[in-house]
Amino acid sequence: MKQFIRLVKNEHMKLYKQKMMWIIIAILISTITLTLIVTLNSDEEDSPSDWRTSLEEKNAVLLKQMADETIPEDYKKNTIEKELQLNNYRLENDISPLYSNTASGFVQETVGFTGLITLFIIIIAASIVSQEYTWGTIKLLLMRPVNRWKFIIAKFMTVVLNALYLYILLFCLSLIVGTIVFGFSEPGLRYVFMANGEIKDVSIFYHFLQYFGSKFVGVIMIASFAFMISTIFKKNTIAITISIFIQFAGTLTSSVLSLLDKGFAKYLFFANTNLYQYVEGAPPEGQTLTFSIINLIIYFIIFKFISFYMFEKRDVVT
Amino acid sequence: MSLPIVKVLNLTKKIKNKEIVKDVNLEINKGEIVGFLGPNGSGKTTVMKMIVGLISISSGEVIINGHNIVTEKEEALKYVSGFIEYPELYKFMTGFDNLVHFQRILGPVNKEDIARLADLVGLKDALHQKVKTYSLGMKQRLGIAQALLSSPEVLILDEPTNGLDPAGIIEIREYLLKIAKEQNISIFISSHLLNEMEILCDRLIYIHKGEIIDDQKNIETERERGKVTFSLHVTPTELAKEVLKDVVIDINTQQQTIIIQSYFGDIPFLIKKLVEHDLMIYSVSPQSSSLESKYLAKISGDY
Repeated sequence: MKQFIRLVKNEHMKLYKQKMMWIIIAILISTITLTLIVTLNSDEEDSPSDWRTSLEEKNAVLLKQMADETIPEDYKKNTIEKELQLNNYRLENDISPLYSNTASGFVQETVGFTGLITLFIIIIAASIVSQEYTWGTIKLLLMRPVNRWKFIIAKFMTVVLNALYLYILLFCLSLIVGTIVFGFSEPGLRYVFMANGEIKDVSIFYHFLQYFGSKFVGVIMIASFAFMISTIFKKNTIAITISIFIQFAGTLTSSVLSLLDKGFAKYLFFANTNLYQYVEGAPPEGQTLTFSIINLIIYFIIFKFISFYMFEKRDVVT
Repeated sequence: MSLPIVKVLNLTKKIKNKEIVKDVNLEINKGEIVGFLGPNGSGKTTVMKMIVGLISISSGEVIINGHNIVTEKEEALKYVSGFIEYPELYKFMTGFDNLVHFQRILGPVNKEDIARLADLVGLKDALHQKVKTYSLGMKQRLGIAQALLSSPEVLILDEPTNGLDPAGIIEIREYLLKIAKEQNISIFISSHLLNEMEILCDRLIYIHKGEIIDDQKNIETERERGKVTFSLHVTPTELAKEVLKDVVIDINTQQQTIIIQSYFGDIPFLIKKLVEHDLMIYSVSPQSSSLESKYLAKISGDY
């Protein structure tokens, strides 16, 4: 165990002695800063203090739209009706909507940057093994009296930990900045959303935990995939390209496949990585949370097995 | 006689049905510097990679200090260290960070050990510079320091002088001799340059087309007993002649240069004597080598 911690420490040292990691952190910080500037400059008419009046006004508009015959029924049913329900729920239960010029509202504005973190983690996961090959340092590394699988676990662990650090950085920095700039005084610290046609209402921090948690699982899955591809090809470019494609076109691909009535679509791993769809919104037909979790576990084991096997058995030729 | 540190038995490497290394047998004993000599592409690197477990073995065995490299890899690798082809280190980190990295794989970081090894290979002043600023010779020496971190019984060095200028070659050679003596470790060193190996090694193993063609087990005694011819550039010449007259087999003067014939093993004492008399030694160079002609004869059939 001590040896394992030392190996993970080594991986961290190599990661943070390179410029890349610091550029990633700088990008993340500047994205949050930019969001802050945009939020400060957008003249939002609503303010948290008189949210009731503004919600009521909004509802009036929505009701008008419901009466409008030119608006398609589908849109009325799926969007307007839901919004009305949510607004009414807020008014009845005295829960203010999230405004981006409040601390928790600002965090809610920035949670979307987990997508950016996914991108960075793909790059790290695709590079951490393959770079040792491109640098040639793999030879000195594997000549040491340590079994190869220990290095690969340490490397993957480093990827997971750094995904966690970036998540924590994103959340804490947004919360701190939000609190300093906007203060932490809003009345409603609750998150109201629709899940399977039912209104749910949870603590805002529970919501963030669910959101980050489910996205984190997705990051780890795509990172395992990138890690495997880079271990096979010993080059990070191929791994980064394929993984980014899957990450950003994967959902589209799986929905196209399921539209074409291809039954296998739901078994593809990237059709299951978005676990948050089981919390908010409507999950695709035929898929449940348990189904996705089992599916992901099986893929995870396969990815890891291939990475280990390739790394353990391969001759080091450079 | 103690057990050999490295024992290679019937080692064969096949890649796509082609035998790159055929039935190689060799032993490296404690404290011995063994030269592994052969032209480029003769299988030196492949044998060395199999010894340190970087590539799989098609058939045969490698035993390091009693441990099989395949079945007891972690244990076997504790006794062996070195580098293959070129000591590729992390260029974006300092020499110190590189040593910390490789030491931490083995155990807790010990800065005193790192400082001592850096001193041993003459990298004390450059230790906190990034490796990308290092010269080739410095990188090789850092590679050697890295290899010594685990206090190995045997160093496996594949072409450690490749690409170095003559001064760099001499530098590395001196460090290796110093290390072998001070740390009492065996060195298995490959090269395609004979004269370099001849000066450094106790024993030479020749490999050609993946096969061992000669293993000179007693090169040392052969050399010590053998007569060699050396030219000395020493001033004042007359005094040098006077000093050496009684201790060499034959002595001649050609202008400023003294040509001596002596036993190989006596050379260090002759030089010591010259130094004791405060003579200025500009050069000591061997005139010809019996090994060189032997080596060329061995591989010439194929060229």
